[in-house]
Amino acid sequence: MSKLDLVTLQFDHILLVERSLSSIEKLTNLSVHLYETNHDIDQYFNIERLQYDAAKILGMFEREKTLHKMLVYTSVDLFIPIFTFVFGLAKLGGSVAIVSSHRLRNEYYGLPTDNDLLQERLIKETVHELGHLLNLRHCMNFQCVMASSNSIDELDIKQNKYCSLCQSKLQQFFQQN
Amino acid sequence: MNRNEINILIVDDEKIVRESLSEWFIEDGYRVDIAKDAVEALNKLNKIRYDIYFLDIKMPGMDGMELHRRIREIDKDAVVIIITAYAAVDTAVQALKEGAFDYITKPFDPDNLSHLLRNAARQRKLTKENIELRGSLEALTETPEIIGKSKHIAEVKELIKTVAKTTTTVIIRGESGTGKELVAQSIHAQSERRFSPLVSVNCGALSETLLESELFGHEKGAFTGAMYRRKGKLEIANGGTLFLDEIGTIGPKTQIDLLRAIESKEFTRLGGNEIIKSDFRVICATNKNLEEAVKKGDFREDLYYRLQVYTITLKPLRERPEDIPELVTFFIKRYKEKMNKPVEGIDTEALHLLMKYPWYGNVRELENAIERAMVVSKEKLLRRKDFLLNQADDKPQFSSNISLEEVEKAHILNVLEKNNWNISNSARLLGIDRVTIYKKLEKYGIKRPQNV
Repeated sequence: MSKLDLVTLQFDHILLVERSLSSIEKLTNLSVHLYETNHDIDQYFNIERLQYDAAKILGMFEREKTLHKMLVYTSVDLFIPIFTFVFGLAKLGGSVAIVSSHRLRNEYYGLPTDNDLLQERLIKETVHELGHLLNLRHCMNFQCVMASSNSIDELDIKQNKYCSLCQSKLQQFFQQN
Repeated sequence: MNRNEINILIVDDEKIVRESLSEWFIEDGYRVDIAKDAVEALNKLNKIRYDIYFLDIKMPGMDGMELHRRIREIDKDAVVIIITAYAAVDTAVQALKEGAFDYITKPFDPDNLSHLLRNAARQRKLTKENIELRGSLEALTETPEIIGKSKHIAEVKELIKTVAKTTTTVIIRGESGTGKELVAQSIHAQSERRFSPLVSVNCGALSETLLESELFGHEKGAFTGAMYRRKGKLEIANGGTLFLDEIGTIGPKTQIDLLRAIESKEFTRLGGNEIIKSDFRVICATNKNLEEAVKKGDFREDLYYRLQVYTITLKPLRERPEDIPELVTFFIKRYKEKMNKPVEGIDTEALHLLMKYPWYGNVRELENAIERAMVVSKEKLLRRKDFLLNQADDKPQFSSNISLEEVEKAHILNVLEKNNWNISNSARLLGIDRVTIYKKLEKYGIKRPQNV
């Protein structure tokens, strides 16, 4: 079984991720290892937007050239220059992905805290960004975890697993690599 | 239209915008191309057309606004989305006025961009479908064929072509049977209005009250028997063409109402108050001398001038006999298919006869003569004997001191003899039914000869 490194960086919900590890392993069919990092990301903070540049943080981790696929969890608000925000970011077939919990929290939308919902959203974003690392594009099936979600509602609508079509593409990917 | 069938071109001088947007669209399954400036974009447009364009408004050299105009010149149906910064929203609004689909400000809200792209794709799909449907409809809509090789017919065709593209009122003049309705159909079929109806009204066939109701429609209870609201022909012709045949026969009251409706494109139904608006083009036809009618006061002068904008005059067939051979071939072909008869053409003698005949009933009479000949012919070529024409090659001559009944009796007898006393054929040629022909025979004491 291939390995996946889950790295936390300025992340406030480590407990939630720990609780999700078995689900993530089951959904992705990867052996998951969780650890924390103290990288300095202040240089990637944009003072005008009050957000962190997700692409630059990804670049920083990519330069470290890890052996396995890596997914970074953070609680800071992420952006890329053309978009007002991103829930997460990954390059197609890349080695590192990043997911932010900032806009996955109910509090961001003025709603009461719901850790179960946050955990579910974190799992969906994790499985989605990992899908991109494993060469999956967005899926037209709105229930598939690979469906594009540009708002929290779209994220909540979809399920946390790959549809049969994406599943078969994944199998093909693992056979070839 | 699936996402992978939609081609997007992103034109932006900022590399990060080009790359991020294209990656995002590619992930969503679209086909994406990029250009760093207007020149590169226009070069690409020489080789390929895109469905959706994202254009940055501020670019060095040619800006997004000018590029938008150039793209419109190349592809008027292109869906263009303007990318702008907050400071340039005014310019983006200007682009909308010039036909851009929408604009989006940087940085983009992913949800907004996603919705915008979906709507743009839908718009493009509808436009493409519309073009395809119009194309197939065009293939189904036949332009009526005007037959003839004479200089006059060539001129008429040219006049039709010229006026068809406009919305000008047309008056078609010519003797009965010269093909005035065919000209009206041809104008309509070549106009931008061809996908909307061509509504014909034969003004001469209706009484004044009926004609008013026919033209303007009526409300329920407008007159005895008006049990339902009924739309008039003017209303039905909305977007299309209204053909008023025998315009010279309409009464004075209808003339006033029609003039008002033609000028304002507004009218009310009989018995109603609601003002109906209708966008129709008027083509009318007459075989009457309208100038004479105006002089006599039978036809309103203002309506005459309103209709007399563009005149197409059709010459009688006897003044253009060179059209006859082609018309004959056309009608033989038509009736050969209809009657399933192996007639291939006409012999020289018969054609010579037809070309010398004065055809007072014009093309209609010629068509009927061919139909009649096709019925009786038993050979591959139509011959002189198959045609029931006045062999004197002139108008039928009758003495001025015989009564109409005597003329009718002589004519019926003549037709019967030419048709070997076949009642059905004779009735068809005379334009009456079999019962009527029997009544006439009884009335005039005409008896079938024993040897027939």
